[in-house]
Amino acid sequence: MSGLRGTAVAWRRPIADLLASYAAAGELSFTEVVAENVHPDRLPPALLALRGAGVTVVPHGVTLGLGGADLPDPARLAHLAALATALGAPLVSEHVAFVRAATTPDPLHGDVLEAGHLLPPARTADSLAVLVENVRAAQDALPVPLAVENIAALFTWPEDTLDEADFLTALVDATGCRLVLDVANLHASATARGSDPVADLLRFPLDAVAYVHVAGGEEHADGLYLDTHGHPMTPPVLALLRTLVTAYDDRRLPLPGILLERDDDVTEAAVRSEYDVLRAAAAPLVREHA
Amino acid sequence: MTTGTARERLAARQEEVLAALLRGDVPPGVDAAGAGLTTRVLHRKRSDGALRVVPELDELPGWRTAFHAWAAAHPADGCAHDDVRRFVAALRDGSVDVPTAADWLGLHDVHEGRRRVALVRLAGRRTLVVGLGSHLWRLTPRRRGGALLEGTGS
Repeated sequence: MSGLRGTAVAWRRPIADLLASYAAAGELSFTEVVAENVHPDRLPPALLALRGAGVTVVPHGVTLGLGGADLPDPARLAHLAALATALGAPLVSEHVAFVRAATTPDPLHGDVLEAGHLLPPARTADSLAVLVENVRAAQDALPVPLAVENIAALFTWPEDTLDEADFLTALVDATGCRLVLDVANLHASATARGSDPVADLLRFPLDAVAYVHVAGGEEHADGLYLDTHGHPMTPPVLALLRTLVTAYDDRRLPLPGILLERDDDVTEAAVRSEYDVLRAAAAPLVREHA
Repeated sequence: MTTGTARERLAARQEEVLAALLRGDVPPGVDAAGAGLTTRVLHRKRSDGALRVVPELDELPGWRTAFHAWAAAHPADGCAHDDVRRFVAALRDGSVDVPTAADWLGLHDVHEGRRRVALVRLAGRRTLVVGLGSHLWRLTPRRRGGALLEGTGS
């Protein structure tokens, strides 16, 4: 539907020149910009130049909190909608996460606690019903399709009744939304909850994935994985990415675009090196009987 | 809205768990390692925000640990600028105890334009910090004594 293919790097100011050179060489299929960091009327000239060069730019929101108890904020939705229009984007992406909480679902009353970070909603019937309604509200407010991303969940809720694959499948079935499948986040979540990331990935609704995220992180001393977005991609994450490439091939599904995210230590050298690794890992399989 | 009561239950539960994680407590029933790491990530995100506002925080040894302990007791109430303002006030009134805070506050005051000059000890060296407009100079005695000063502008 959205047709995002090939490999990509998320747009960040310190690597704007590098991404421009990738685009000029035909090595950047699309990119993504953090919605909260730009204004639709004052888009960075370097980003507009990429757009002018034919690179698709996806607005990626981080503060909507679709997994929260309250309906998504109309002002944040209007911002995402305006960005999608200004960038001519084929879709907008956000997260299956809550980012703030208040003692009542009405944001105008009660003290609001801001997490400043993406946190996992519980996977219960209540939580799913609210998430479905929130995603529908977002879809109604957006001029383009919405894709939602699995986050790196370092803890799970004791009341969970669904696993992540079933939860996301139910969300997709109920709303028709698309997914951003982050393989590093899946590795992080699976490591933290003690599940097998490969088995999880094979049960995700792969035909609903609009594009894929991957990023670097570090293995923590206590066995947990932190998605720092500032370290190299680890061997288990690259192996999971390869599993994904194989899974699409096995199912004769077109492989979605794969985007590298880097948010810390964003230097040309680091991104160039990681992008080379990504492109090797994402290379099409060579069939024995083509 | 068809999910009114579900939203109310969800709001109360999310608030309970998020408040515990921000305080550094393990919410009942949640794995301690996962909760502890989540708390560290939440506090680290907040101190990263403070550092973006006031980069000279990195010149205060031990500031991250002190900030994270302070953050656990003080839920965010505003943006990173508000965080820094409240944390610096706590350093100033001694409710947050960092050994070299007095020297660092001198440096910070010059950065903020509250003072033009401060003579402080930074990284073990006596340093005269001078601010004029948006420029800031650090003057340190040459290592072999003498009255001449080395300067670095920023």
